[in-house]
Amino acid sequence: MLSFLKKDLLVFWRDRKEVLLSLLLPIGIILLLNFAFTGLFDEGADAVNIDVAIVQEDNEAIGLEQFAEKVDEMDRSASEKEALLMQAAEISPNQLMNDFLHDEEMKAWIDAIEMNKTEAVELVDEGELDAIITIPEGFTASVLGSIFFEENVENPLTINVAEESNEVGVLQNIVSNYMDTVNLRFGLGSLGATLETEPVLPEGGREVVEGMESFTMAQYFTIAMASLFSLFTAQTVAMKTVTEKRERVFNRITLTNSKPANYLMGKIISTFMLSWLQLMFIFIITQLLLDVFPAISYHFWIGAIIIITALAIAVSGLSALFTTITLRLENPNGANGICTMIVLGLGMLGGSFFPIEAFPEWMQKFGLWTPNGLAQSSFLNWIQYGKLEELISPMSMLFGFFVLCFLIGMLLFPRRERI
Amino acid sequence: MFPVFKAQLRKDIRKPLILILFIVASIVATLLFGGNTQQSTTTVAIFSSGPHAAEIEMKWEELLNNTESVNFVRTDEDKAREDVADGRRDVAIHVMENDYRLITSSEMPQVQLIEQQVHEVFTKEAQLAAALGNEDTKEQRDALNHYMENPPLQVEVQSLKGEALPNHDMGIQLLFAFTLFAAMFTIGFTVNGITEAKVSGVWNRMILSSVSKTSMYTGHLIYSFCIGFFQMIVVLLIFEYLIGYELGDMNKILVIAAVYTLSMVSIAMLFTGILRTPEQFNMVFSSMIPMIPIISGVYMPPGTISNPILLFIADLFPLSHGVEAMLDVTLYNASWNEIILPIALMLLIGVLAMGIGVNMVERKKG
Repeated sequence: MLSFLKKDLLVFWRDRKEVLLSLLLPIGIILLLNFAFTGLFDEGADAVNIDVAIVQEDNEAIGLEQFAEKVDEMDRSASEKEALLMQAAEISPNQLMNDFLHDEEMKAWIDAIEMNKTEAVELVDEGELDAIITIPEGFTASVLGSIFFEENVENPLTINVAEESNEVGVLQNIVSNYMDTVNLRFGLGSLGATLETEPVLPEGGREVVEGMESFTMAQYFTIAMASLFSLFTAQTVAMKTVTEKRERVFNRITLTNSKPANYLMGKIISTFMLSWLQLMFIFIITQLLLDVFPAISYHFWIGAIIIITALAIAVSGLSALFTTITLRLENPNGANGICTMIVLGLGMLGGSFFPIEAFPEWMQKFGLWTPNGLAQSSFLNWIQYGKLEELISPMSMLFGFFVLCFLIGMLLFPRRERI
Repeated sequence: MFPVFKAQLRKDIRKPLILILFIVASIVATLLFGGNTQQSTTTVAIFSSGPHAAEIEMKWEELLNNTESVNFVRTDEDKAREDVADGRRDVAIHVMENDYRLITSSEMPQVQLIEQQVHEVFTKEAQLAAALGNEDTKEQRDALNHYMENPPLQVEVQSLKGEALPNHDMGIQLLFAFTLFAAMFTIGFTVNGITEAKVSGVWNRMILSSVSKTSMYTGHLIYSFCIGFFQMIVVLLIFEYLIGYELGDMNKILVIAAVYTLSMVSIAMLFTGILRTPEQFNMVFSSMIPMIPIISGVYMPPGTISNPILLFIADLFPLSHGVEAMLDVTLYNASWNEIILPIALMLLIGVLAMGIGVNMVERKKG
C-alpha cells in the first residue's frame, strides 16, 4: 500500500503546475467574488447609486387653473370654494414630488438631474443614466382631481427604463414607498381622520442570539468555494487514473497480484492529503488576505481543522468512487462527464454555487446530505456557536459518506479477468 | 475533412451515453432550479411573549401574511429560537404590541428582504394606529384599503418607448443559463478529441496520410460544433414545444445558439492549446467552466454584479453575451439590430480564441 501511496504522491509532484492551479484557482475566485459582492451586501449604501433624469412636463400653474375651473362649476358657497383652492395650493403635488426627489437624505441613493425628454432618453439608451422619472403633463390636475373629487388618476408618474435591473427595482421601491406614505395620509384624510399624534414607529432591529456570531457573505464564499474545489480535487485524482489506464500502468499493477483495496487506498490517502492541504491553504490565505474570519481565536481553528479533515476524508471517498468509475468505463470522456455531473450536482444541491435557501425545502434537505453541504452547514454552525458537540453528527455523516463511497468503489472495482 | 468528421461521429453513435446524459442533465437542472425559483415561499416563524401573546401573534400573522412570497407562521417561542440557533431557519421574528425584533445571525440578502417587508407592515400599522386611535374598526380599514387601491399618487414603470416593461423572468434566464452551460461541457469534451487523437497516435498517422492539417482541424471542430449545436437545439425545442415555455422568435434564438457554439468551440480550442494531455484538459476545463456562470452573473438577477473588473472578465467569455442576447429576444422581442452587438462580440471572442488556440497547439512539441 505504501508503494501505491508513494506512486500517487509522485504523480502529483510531477505535475506541480496542476496542483498549483488547484490551489490558486479557488483563491482567485474567492477574491474576485468578495471584491464584487462585498460592496453590494455588506454596506449597501455605497453600492446603490442610481442616476436619474427628472423630466418636468407638468405646469403647476395650469394645473391649478384647471382645478379652479372644476371647483368653480361646483355647487358650493364661495368661502368653501376658496378653502378648497387654498388646500389644493398647499398640497401642490408637483412640489411634493420635487421635494422628495431632491431630498438631502435621498442623495445617498439617487442622483437626480433635471433635463428634457429627448436628452434623457438618449442618455438612458447609452447607459449613462439608469432611469427617467417623468412628471407628466396634467399631473397636478389629475392628482388634485383624485384627492378632492375621487376621479381616476389619468396621468400617473412614470419611470422609464431601458430594462429591468436591481437599480430599477430599488428606485421603484423607494418611490412607491414614499407614495404609499403620502397616499395613506390622504386616505386617512378622506376618512375624516388626521395624523394628530406622531405615529410611534417601530424600532425594529435585531436581537442577537446569545453566543452567536454573525455570518457574512465573505465567509459564505470562502466556505462554499473551498468545499466545491475540494470536490474537484476528487475528480482530478480520478482523471490521473485515465493516464494510468492509457499507459497500461494499471494492467501491470493487476499483473503483480496486488489487492484492489491497496490500489484504492493509495488513491484515497493521496487525495486526502491533497485536499486537506488545499483546504487549509485556502482558509489560511483568504484569512490573511481578506480577514474573512475576524476576531478569530485559537478555538475557531480547532473546529475548522476538524471540519476540514472530515471533508477531506469524504472527498477521498469520492475519489475512490470516481476512480472505479473511470476504470469501468472505456471512454475517458464519458467517465469525466459522469464525474463532472456528480460534482456539479453535489455543488448545486449543497449550495456551493448559490445559496440554496430560495429553493424548496426537499431540495434543501437533500443538500444537507451532500459532503459540501454538510461541511458548509457545520462551518456556519461552528462560526455562530462554536460548540464542539454540535460537530459530532455532521462529522460522522461525512465519515459515513466516505465509507459508502469506498464500499461502492470496492464493490464495482473491475475484476481481474475483465481487464 | 469528412472522414475525420465521420470517425468522430461513429465514436459517439457507438457510445451515445455521455451526450444523452448531458442533454438530460441540462433539462433536469433547468426544471429543478429554473422552475422553482418563482413559486417557492419562505416560511418564517413569528412568536410573542407576555400574557397577550396569542392575541398579538394572531393579529400580526394576519397582517404580515398579506404580502406574498413569505409565509409567516405562528410558532412556539422556544422552538422558533431553537430553529434559528441550530441553523434550521435563518430568521424568526419576535412580534410585540407595536414593535418587532428579528432573531437571526445571518447577514445574507434574503434576511434583509424579509426585514424590509416586516418593517413596511409595522410602519403602516403604526401610522394607522396614530390616525385612527381606538376607533380602529374593520369598516374604516376596508374603506382605507379601498382608497389605497386607487390613490392619488401613482407610478408606472415603462420602457423607453413608453410601453409596459416586461417582467424579468428569472426562470427563463436560468433556462438559457443552464442550456448554454451544459453545452460548454459537451463542446469541451468533443474538442478534447484532438488531444486524444494526439496521445493515441491517431493524429500522427493522419499527418502521414494525404489528409491536410486544415481539414483535420476543421473536421474535428465542425464535429464539435454540430454536437454542441445539436444538443442546444434539442434542449431548446423540448422547452419550447414539450414543456411549454415561450421562448419567442426561434430563428433568432437558434442563430444566437449557433454563434455561441462557434465561439465556445474556439474557447475549448484555446484550452486545448494551453494543456497537453486529454486528462489535463478534463481536469482544468471541468473546474474552470463552472466558475464562468458565477462570474458572469447569469445565476443572479441582472444588475447584481456591477463591479467593472468582474464585468470585464465576464465579457471575455461568450456565456454572458449569449444569455443576454437570448433574453433580449425572449423578453424584449429584440430585433436583429439589437442583438447584433452580442453576436459580434461572440464572433470576435471566437476568432481570437481560435487563432491563439490553434497556434499554441501547433507550436507545442510532441
